[in-house]
Amino acid sequence: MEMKVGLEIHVQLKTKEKLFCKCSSEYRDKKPNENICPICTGQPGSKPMNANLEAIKNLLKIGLILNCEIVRERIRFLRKHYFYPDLPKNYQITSEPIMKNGNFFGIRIREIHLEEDPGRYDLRNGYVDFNRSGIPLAEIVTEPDFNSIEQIEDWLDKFYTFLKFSNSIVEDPGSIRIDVNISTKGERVEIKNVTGIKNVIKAIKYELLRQERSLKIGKEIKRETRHFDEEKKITVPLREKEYVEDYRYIPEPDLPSFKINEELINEVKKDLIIVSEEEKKLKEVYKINEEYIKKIIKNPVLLISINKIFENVKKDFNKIAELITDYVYPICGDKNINLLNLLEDNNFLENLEEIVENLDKIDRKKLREIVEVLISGKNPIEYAKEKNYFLEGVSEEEIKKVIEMVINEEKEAIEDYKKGNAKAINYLIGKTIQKLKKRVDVKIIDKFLREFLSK
Amino acid sequence: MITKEILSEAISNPIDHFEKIRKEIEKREKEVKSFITLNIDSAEKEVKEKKVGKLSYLIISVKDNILVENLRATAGSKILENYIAPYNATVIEKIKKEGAIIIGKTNLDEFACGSDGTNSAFFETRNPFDLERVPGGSSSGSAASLAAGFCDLSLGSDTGGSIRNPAAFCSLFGFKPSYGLVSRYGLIDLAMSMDQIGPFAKDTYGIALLLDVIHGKDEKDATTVNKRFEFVKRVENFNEKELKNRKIAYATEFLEYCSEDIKKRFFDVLNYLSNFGIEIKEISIPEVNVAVSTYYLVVSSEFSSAMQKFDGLKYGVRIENKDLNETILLSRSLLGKEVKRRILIGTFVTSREGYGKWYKIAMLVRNKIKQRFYSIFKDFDYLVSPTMPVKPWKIGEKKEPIEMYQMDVLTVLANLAKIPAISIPVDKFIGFQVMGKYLEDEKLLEISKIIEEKFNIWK
Repeated sequence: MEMKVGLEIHVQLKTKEKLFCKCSSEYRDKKPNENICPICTGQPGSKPMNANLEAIKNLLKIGLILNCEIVRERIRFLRKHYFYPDLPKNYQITSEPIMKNGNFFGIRIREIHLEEDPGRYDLRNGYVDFNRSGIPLAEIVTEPDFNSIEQIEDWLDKFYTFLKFSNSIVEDPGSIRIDVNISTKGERVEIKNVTGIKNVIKAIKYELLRQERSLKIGKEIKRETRHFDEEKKITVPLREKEYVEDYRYIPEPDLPSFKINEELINEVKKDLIIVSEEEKKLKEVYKINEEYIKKIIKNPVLLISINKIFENVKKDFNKIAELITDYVYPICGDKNINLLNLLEDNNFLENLEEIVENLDKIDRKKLREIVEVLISGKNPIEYAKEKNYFLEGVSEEEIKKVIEMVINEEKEAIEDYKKGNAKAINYLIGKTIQKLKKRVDVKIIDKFLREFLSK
Repeated sequence: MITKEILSEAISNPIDHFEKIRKEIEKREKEVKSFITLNIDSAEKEVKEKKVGKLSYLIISVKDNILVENLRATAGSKILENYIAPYNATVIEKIKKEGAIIIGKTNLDEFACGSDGTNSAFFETRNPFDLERVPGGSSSGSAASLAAGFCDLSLGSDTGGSIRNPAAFCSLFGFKPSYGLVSRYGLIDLAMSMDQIGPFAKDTYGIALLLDVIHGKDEKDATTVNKRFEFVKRVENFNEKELKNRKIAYATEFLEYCSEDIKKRFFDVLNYLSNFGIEIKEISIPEVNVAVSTYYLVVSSEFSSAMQKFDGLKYGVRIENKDLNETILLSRSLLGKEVKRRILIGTFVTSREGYGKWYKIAMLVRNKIKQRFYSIFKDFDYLVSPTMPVKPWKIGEKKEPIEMYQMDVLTVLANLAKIPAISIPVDKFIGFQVMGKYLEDEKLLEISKIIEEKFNIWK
């Protein structure tokens, strides 16, 4: 079904202290209402302290990763009023947008702002725990640019990976909460406060199904706010009556407005991986093939590793890109090894460089084995020599002679090939190698074979 | 006896000094009714401890919207009737550190919403000079307790005149600092962009002494300014000759609201001041006529937001019901009529429907007033007026809300413009108000000292 989806993503920013008080941000393992003070419980007379700078810095990081512009005007805090037991002041302090107009893997970002997390309300028992109250949140609002579930899943995966990597957010599945705005063939429906990426996908899947069913029986999709029931995996209406919520936003009189200055931005930019900038560098400085650029930028570990190696090795960039992307990184993944840790070892870099230098002379079929040796910390080139994994010097004439012999002997396979059986070529390559009795670059055989066959 | 002498008496014999005050309270508190919570027993214990500091053994009463740890803080409201403060306001930390002794928490109009002290949810405080009359408000108990001799100094709060108004009605000095000079941490909100805590005293010295202690940057109030002043030093070293060539302005519009006896006294003071070579000029401030409506729009908007937190769930009185919303509704029904009126007005003014029409306009006018004052203080050192347009009225003399709001016409301007203002007693029931440039609070104390020399009734 055709759909348009926009997301409002809340992530907890990684800080030592809460946003407007000195309480710790480590609330998860504490007894209820142990991690609180007059400020984050909204005691009479308490006021918010100036916003935690660490939170602002981490929000800026996120905005830069998502390719946003920084708002240069003075930014005010606002009060958003609504009554709910987990909200101690019955209003939430939220900032005006701090970053705007971003774009991350094709999805436009409308704005990002800062706000305080409410506490937790246990509706069934009527208990409230304010330990979480005042934890800094970034709310990231996308444009309604998503149009398939796969796209949302893939994008959120990249989003989460890059954010985690920048060390700016709390890594806990429950710390990411998303409001989904979804329109198909009717009014816009909002699914509020879905926890975790997996649940978001489930919620959208269910909601699409529900809307499809409704439309089939001739019911209109009306504008409403729904809630995702994690246990039943369905969405249910949150507000029965249709009314527009009025949050009565007013500027927060207890907090001065603030401005993002250049110094802060530069400080934050250090060590930050911004995909669009990296993409440009790979393309223009290192001249990496499009195919590999696409693979590399998807993955922050790959991206930062390749960057580090490039800075050290300074040549053969495309070969390095291929070796790392297709061999080293996936093998590390299989073995549960962090590639970044390997890069700390100078031996590793030297060995890697040796492989790159010999890449054309090594038997490709044995490359995986050689890389495994590299990762294990031993000398891969010595290993390759011992095992005789190097290609041997064979003249082109010799290869062509053998190919002619094979073609004359393997009439049936050639018929198959001409009928369009692509596998036949592999068979012929194998036969050629057998006859050559030497290690030769498969690519060359492949190339010559095709030339012969096209005659 | 004024503050300096009180201080030396208190230091030389703290217990006698305390006993004198205790007797005064025993004798007259029944009729004046200035305290919501008396703290005599622990105060007595404290008097026996050693104190070192600028306020050693001085007995101070505190308005009941300022939090003192382990004492009740009701803000004059039924909804907080059982609320025990879990922490100290910053000003309380500061005065305790300097050796002050807190004698009790004083009555006020509920959540400081009122101009004469009769709007407390508990009882009416009376004017110690005439028990038939109001003491002024909203810091009614602070002023009455000091005027009646139940303390040496007092702390109140001023959002639109709540210190200066009762200071005038009870013939005291009352000071509203520049916004941000004194921390509001621990002051229960009325209008956050205008609230300031300030001192009451029987002379300029007392004001300076308390200001010295309570002002300063506080990380728990992000609106405080990073400035240090030496008020006492400035007051003590001031020479009347320095007044020469200073300029005073007063506005024609101010006097349009004032009764004849008030005007007469006002000009007596101006005449006296002209003897010091001060230049006095009448000017026009057309914004005076919209000051009260602007002020009440701002107050109601901010107040309606501040009052959201009182839902009976976390603290204060809860009226339990099975339904959560019903519990909140019933608990909030404990709020008084004037409080409810302001919440409703403020909720409307900040709603989608009212915002553009009212809130925005009020902000615009407020900015205009700020600009006007900025330009006035380019040409003048002081802007003066009577503090209140009339003398204190009789208790029970019911005023309509609008009529009551008009009583604030001369005091609200300083809060809207965030500038300092002082009320100096110049006769029984009558105060003379001096406003000054933002953060030139010291300068107000200088002229106050000169006026005090002729008019102070406490000498």
